[in-house]
Amino acid sequence: MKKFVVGLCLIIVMMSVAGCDKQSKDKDQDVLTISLTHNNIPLIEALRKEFKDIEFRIDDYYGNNPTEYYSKKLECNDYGDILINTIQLNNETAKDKLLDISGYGFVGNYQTEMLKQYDVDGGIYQLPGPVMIRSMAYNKTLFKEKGWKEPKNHKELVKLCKKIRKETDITPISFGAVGVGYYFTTMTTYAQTKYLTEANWIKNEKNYLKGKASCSHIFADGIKMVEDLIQANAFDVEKNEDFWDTQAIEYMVDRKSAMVNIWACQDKFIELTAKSKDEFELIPFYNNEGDALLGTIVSAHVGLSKSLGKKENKKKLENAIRVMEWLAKEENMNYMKSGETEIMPLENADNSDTAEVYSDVWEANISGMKAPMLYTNYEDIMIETAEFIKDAMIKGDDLGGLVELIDKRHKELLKDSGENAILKVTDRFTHEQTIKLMADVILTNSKADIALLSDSEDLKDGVPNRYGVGGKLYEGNYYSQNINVCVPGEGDKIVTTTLTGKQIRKLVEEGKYETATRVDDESKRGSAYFRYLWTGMDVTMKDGKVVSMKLSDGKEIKDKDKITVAFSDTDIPEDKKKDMKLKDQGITCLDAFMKYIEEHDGVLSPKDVK
Amino acid sequence: MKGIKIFNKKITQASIFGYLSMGIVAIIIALVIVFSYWQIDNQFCKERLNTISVVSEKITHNIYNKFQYVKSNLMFAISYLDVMEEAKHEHINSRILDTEDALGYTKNDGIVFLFDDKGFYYGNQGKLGKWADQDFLQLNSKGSITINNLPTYGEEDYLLFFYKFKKPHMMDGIKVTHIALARKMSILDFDLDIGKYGDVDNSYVIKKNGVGVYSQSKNEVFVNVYNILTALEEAEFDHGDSYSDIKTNIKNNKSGSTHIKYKGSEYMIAYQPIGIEDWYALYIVCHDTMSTSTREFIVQTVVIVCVAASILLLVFIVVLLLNNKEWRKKENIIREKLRIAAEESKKANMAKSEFLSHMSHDIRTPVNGIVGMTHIAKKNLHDNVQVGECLSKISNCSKHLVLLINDVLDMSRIESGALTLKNEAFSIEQTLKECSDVIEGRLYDRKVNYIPQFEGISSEYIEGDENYLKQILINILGNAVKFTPDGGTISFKVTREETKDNKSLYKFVISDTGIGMSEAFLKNIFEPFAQEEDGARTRYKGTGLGMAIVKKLIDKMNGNISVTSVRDKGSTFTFQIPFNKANKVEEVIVEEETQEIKIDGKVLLVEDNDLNREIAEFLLEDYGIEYDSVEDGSKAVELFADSEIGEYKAILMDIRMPIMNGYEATKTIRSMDREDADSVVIIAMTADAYAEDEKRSMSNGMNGHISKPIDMNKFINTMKLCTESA
Repeated sequence: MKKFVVGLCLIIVMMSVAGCDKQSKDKDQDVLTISLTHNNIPLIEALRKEFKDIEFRIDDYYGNNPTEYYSKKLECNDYGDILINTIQLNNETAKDKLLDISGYGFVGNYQTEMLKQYDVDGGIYQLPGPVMIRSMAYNKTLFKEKGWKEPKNHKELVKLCKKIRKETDITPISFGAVGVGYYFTTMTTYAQTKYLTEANWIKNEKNYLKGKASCSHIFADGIKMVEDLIQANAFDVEKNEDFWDTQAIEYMVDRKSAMVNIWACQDKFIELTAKSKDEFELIPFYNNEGDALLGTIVSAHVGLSKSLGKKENKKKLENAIRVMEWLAKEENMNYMKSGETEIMPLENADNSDTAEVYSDVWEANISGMKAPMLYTNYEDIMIETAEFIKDAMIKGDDLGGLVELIDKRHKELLKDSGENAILKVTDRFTHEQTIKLMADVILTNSKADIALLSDSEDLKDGVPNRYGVGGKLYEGNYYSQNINVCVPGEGDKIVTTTLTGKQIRKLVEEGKYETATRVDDESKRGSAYFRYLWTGMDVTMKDGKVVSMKLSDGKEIKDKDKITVAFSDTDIPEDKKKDMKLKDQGITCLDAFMKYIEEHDGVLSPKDVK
Repeated sequence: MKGIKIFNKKITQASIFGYLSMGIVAIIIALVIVFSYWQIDNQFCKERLNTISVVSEKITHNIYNKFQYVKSNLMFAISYLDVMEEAKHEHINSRILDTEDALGYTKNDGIVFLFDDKGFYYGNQGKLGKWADQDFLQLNSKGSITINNLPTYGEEDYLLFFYKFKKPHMMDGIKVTHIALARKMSILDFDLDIGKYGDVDNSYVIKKNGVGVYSQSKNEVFVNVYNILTALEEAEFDHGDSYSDIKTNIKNNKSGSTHIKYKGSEYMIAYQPIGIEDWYALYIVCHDTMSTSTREFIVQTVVIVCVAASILLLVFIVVLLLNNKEWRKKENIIREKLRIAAEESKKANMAKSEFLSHMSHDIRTPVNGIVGMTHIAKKNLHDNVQVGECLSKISNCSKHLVLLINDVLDMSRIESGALTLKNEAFSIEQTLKECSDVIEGRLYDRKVNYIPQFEGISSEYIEGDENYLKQILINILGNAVKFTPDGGTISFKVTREETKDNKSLYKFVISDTGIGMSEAFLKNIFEPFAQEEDGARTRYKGTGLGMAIVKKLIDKMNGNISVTSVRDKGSTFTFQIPFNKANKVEEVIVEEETQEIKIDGKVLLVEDNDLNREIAEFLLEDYGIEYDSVEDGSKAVELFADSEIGEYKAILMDIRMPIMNGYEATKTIRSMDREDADSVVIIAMTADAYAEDEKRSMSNGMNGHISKPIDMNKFINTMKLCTESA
């Protein structure tokens, strides 16, 4: 009897455990992780409201290089169930990491023409979000006043730029010069205008990418066209060095430039031009023959993780499909719009919310007028190409040698199996380890006792911290295009200041008080505390309070002690800066990191974190 | 009890077997039905797949023809343009317009495009722009027609039939390299519509990789999918081609069909290469639409079979239940019998225990008396009077013990059915007189009035067992004597009447004015050991078996007995026994007194028991008979064999002896080759006292049979009889 009772109890316990395990596995099926390169709180809130039975977890990033960071995450298979990426993944990566969704009905909601761009051997792995148009704009009123004609081909544009320089001190073309990628985009967009006339362009591009042809077949004309503009003194790069798109547009609205390349912030164009009395118009990019091109950029590409195709994730997949079906409707895809200038790539979208100037341009849907921005597959040469072009723009040089540079770099990286990597990371760092590593980088490259660095991982009440460390260092190789993914404010300088023990204690306990534009409502600003992490000292805390702080030599830091603290320049709140005497250490965070890597023979491991 | 348990176990096993059989039969029937349904449905499914394959082949052929027709239109357009070139139209767009008119295209049913060497294309409105798919233009081979789909030109999807001129045509100063004829995809609607199957069909024109070119889909499940083959990957394929078969077949330009289950519904699919580009026509039809009537047929058939099987099963169950009922009835009867048998067995065991308990007392009492008196006598050897009294009492106790043992043995024989009644002629009158004499002898010194009444009893001889009749009468009369105090009366009345079957029915009525019996005791009077009061056991000194023996004997004689009694007033026993009439037999006067006996020779005494041998030797000596004695049969045989002829006149042979028993010794002696082997008188002297024992002795060659304890009178009479006859 006793044995029977014991046996029965055992069976009950085992069944309970199995049931609990099954329950916990079942519960896991109702969780969807969304990996976003940029958080979209309205979208997330709308999803949570719509799908109350699904728990949405957000995997986002507030660092320097979201595109490269997510590439790394994909490479290391650390990504969520749903990916919303600003950049379209290349076909190989898409096929390898994402689920083929071509068999689902919601795909049919998208314009077939758009779908063809995402077709990989008959499969669809990503779907486009709202589409932004990249074009030039000009001040029509100014042109009229000055008797300038709207250029209808590139030659006319070059001629016009020369004329504007000769007759006025207005900058012919302004653009967001601070964005390194824009220099590359300028060249490639002009190169794409040739696409419209060169039937072999796609074939040539494929050959280049395989390393079988020079980039000259695809970029030569574009490089020449940029060269022509440089020679025509079309740009004021040094003057516009701090410009993002908004400032560049403002420049034009203020009549300080005649034309502007709008790569982003199309909403700002609508907003700012609406306030002006002048009339403005969008114009395409032209080649010398007058063939017009509108660049397009899809703000978000949505895909599902391949792991959802596994049998054990059946329910998860069902939930994810529900989300995709929801997103495939115009009223829901609106949550992915960043403004009123985007076009829905849906079959029956009326785009009634889109600003007329953009919807009109879109409706002029003549074949050959649109080309997506080049980025995917060019990450390897992008930074160096951009810097080359920027340099030439500043100096007024030609772009001779650029083709060779691109070809050489591309071939090197094609053959590369890690030898050309700047950094090799042996094992994955946690987020905390990454922050501490960067803090160590700062400390090592400064004359300070300790270094403090803030955490940019999560939003706090919709407020982002863009100047600390976001993400983590993944295992693998790092190159020039992605070395900065975890560097806090890569261009920021390392600074030091003297603080008392009491002040340090306060920073450790409270964190960094950051005020920034809210992610969920860009018309508002918000404030929140973000924790600091440190290096160079040991801190014991209890219930969020500092119990003791000791320097690395074991010396206790008392309240009245004066300690030299190193920071990344932008990681100090503005209101605090005025009270500090900051000393520039003469090195940027990125350079410091490069130096640090060199000192560690190009290899880093979590074991290096103190 | 063990028997009941075994029986119950067998009954349970039988029930379980019955139910199990029913269950198995039901399962078999169910399996047969399911299998039949599956088999029939399977066959029908194959038929439907065949049907849809045939239909789809025909439809695909129509589609092919339609494409061929459009191609012919294109060739016409090419020829027409050539003609127009010669006519030197000024503008390219007017040429296009004319061509469209010549083809009969209106309202954009069909559009003609021309392409120049720079990749621009022209319609009837003039230059339209750069053709997006420059790659496609370049891949075109000269002089061949390729087809592509142009999604959503305006609001319609178009098929484009491209032709690359072998040599560019100059038109309007433009170097025209290609001509294309765009036709609305809806031209295929009629052919793709397998409307005969209802509103649930889906028809696709797909590329080999599954990407749709055109579709006509009414089913919400499949509408809008980009890649129909990818969508089908999730389906369950159960008839026809598997998913991988489909992919392989399409890769190898083969056709096929299959049946799938997808998102809760069933579909029939057929696919055919169109023969245009690498395109396939794929048809998906809802299974229910195709199979409604056949399914109904199958269901009806299965229902009929089910009903028939159910009726059969029901009949089987009813029969089984009825059998079960019968079985249960029998089972109950057997159970009851077993219960009764168990109870009787229990009673018998109890009776046995009680009997042993009684016997223990009843035997010990006289034995105690014998032992006690013997001890007293030994102590008083010098006192002849005392010794005489002791011997007298010992004698009484011995007689009582003999009576007790006889009663027990009688009862035992009657219970075991071993008792055999003699069927010899005897005088009823004589028997009655003898019994009456016995009772009178017992009442000699009592003041009890004894009234025998035998009127009408003639000197009739009847057939029966005289000894047992006497035993009956003596038992009842003996009880009357025992239980009637002085001053009372005992009457013994016997009457006779003639029965229908010519038998003599004697009625015996024995009444007394004794202590009587209670009503409760009367109910059990004929049970063994039944006595009125336990206290009376010691007072009235009976075995308690008498009445039981009387009842058994009367029953055996086909008679009946009844008793009436009133406490302190007396009892009346009435019993009747039918007897067959017999012829008068010669009277054999048996001298009861001891007589002298002369034997001309010796007697050989064969007895293994020392005490019995001593007693017999004493008796022989007492009668002045010369004898030899041995302990077993083999010695008797030896001694006889060694003796002179006629030395032994008689042999007193015990039966149960070691080494050689009495029967064997008798046979051996009788078989000896001696003159006196047959003539020597051999008398069985044994405790086996019943008729069959006597018979057996006779059949083994003995001359007489006397039972132990030896009754002297009987011993002498038998000796006399045997020696005289010898």
